[in-house]
Amino acid sequence: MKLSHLVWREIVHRQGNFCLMLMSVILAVACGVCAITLFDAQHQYNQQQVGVLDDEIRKITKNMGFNILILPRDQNLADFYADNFAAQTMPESHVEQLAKSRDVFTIRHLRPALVRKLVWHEQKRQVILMGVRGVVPFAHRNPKKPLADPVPPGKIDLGHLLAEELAMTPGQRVTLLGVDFEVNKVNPVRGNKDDITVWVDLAQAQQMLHLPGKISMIQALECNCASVDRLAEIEAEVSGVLEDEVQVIELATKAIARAKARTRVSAEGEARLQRWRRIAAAVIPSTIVAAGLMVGLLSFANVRQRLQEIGILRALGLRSNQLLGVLLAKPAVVGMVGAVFGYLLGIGGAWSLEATWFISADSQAQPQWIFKFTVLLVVLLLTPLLTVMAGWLPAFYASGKDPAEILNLE
Amino acid sequence: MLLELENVNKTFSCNDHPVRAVEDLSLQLDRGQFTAVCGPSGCGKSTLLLICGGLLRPETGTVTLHGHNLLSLSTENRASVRAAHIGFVFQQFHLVPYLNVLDNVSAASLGLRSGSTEDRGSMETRALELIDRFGLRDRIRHLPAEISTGERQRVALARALLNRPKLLLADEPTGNLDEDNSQVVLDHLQEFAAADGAVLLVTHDAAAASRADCLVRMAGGQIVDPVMSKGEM
Ligand SMILES: Nc1ncnc2c1ncn2[C@@H]1O[C@H](COP(=O)(O)OP(=O)(O)OP(=O)(O)O)[C@@H](O)[C@H]1O
Ligand SMILES: [Mg+2]
Repeated sequence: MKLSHLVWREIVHRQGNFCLMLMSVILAVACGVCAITLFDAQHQYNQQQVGVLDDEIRKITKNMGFNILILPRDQNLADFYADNFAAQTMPESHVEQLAKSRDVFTIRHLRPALVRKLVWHEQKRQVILMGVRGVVPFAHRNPKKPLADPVPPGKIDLGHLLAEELAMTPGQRVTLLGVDFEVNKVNPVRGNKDDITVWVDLAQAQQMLHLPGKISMIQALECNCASVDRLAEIEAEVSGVLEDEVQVIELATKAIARAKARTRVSAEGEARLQRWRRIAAAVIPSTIVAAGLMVGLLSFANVRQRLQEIGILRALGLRSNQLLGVLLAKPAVVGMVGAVFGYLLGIGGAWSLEATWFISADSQAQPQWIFKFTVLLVVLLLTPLLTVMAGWLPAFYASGKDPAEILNLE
Repeated sequence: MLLELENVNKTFSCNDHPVRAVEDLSLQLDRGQFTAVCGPSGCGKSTLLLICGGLLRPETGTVTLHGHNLLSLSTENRASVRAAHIGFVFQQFHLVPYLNVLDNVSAASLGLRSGSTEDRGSMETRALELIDRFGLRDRIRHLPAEISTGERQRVALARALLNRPKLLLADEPTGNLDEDNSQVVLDHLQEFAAADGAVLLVTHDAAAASRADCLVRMAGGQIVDPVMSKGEM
């Protein structure tokens, strides 16, 4: 016969005690694992939500283009909104100045433009003429993929509505203000004034409009700066370079709304994450203490119940360290079995809570099984250690007892 | 001399009222000797047996077993000496309640120092042999609570014999047995003594006492008659 057999028979004989110990350990481990797993779930969920918004922003900005306009200081904004273009001009050199500056971080993709609303005599139509050149890269930053292509000299890009109404297709030749152009491309529908805009090379436009070296605005894209007062920040930066010769306005694009949403979602997610962290920090130590007490008390009760047989085994000649082993084997088994089942219950619980707490009814998302090997490892190692520690005192007390003392108590 | 007690005194104090269970008692027991102890209830027979087994510590006197001074040994070493050299049949049997008959008998081997797997195997065989011998074959898987008092007593005896001890201390091992089973047990004790073991048997039963080589009468914690050998009884 082996000592392990003795341990096993006792567990089977006093199932109640064993089950109570096991249940308290399973519950404690499950609570701890659940709290940690929900924390991880929140983290994943945050990243996923922010990721979705990031994606949307990327898509929107790709289609919508620029949302920051740098206009001449003396441009009346009421006129600008009424006419849809800036009548005042400023030197084209502003854009180079900005691009060379080391102090501008809040905007990217500078694109100078000269814009006029005019009547296309040849076609008897009102159009917006936009002279553009390519995006001017910031001298001190990695060049980004440009948001808009330049229009080569002698070529013209047409807004969708205009091209449709005038039945123009790429390759066709047209005359604008007496200058000959070849249709370069027809832009897709954008649902705004772009659909009645024609784009030509900036230098050519300046020549046609007799405004050499002048532009009426610089288009730019704001960086994802999280500050509430982004515009003031951008303006401060730009004014720092161009000395109050310009003003900055922001067009309310979907991108801004999404950027705001992203900032909000990310902040809310972080707040929730912090809440989970606090919950885990409260749950884990208290369950450890509660389960430790429970195991300790149950071990104590068990050892008291077993005093008689401890006396018998001592009288048969078992040494106290053998008995200590026998008495500690039970909490060790409780710890190991409790760790496994508690872990499974914990991630199972987290999985079902995930479905109700993190996933909205209309979403297609499925709750994820969040499995972390380190958590499993720590639980498997730490739980038996803690239960053995909890059972140590009663076991130590009983294993050292004199058999005569026990057996003569009757 | 296998066992030697010299001027042993043991007093229990119960509610500040001292009870002298064993008083200035000396006793010697040699290999091959089968000694019976009898006397009225409460005269200290069980106490004497526990002292011989190193389970009770007398206030004064010495207990020597097989050259070991039992009282000067550490608790752990005393446990080892007990496991190796002494078989104990308690008056209350003291079986482990959750072990079946076979396991209860085998449990005696747990305290042995060197326990190789072969030893374990042979111990198991020996346990089965003893169980057979005491007519418990068909009770092998029963728990102590599921067998009769007489059967428990035989299990306790089988357990005491498992490790082939040098000294067998038996407290009323036939107290609950019928004639036939008593004979089996007493035969075994005699056989054990004949095989160079020493037996100290506590009994009320005159027939049982008559099987012993010597008889010791106790009263009030003391040996009243000088030790009688078989012829004198
Ligand atoms: N643990 C104890 N505490 C107090 N008194 C005890 C204890 N054990 C025994 N005694 C007392 O010591 C005396 C001797 O007891 P013991 O059990 O040795 O008697 P016994 O001869 O074996 O009796 P019986 O034949 O009834 O078994 C008794 O008076 C008993 O009351
Ligand atoms: Mg007695």
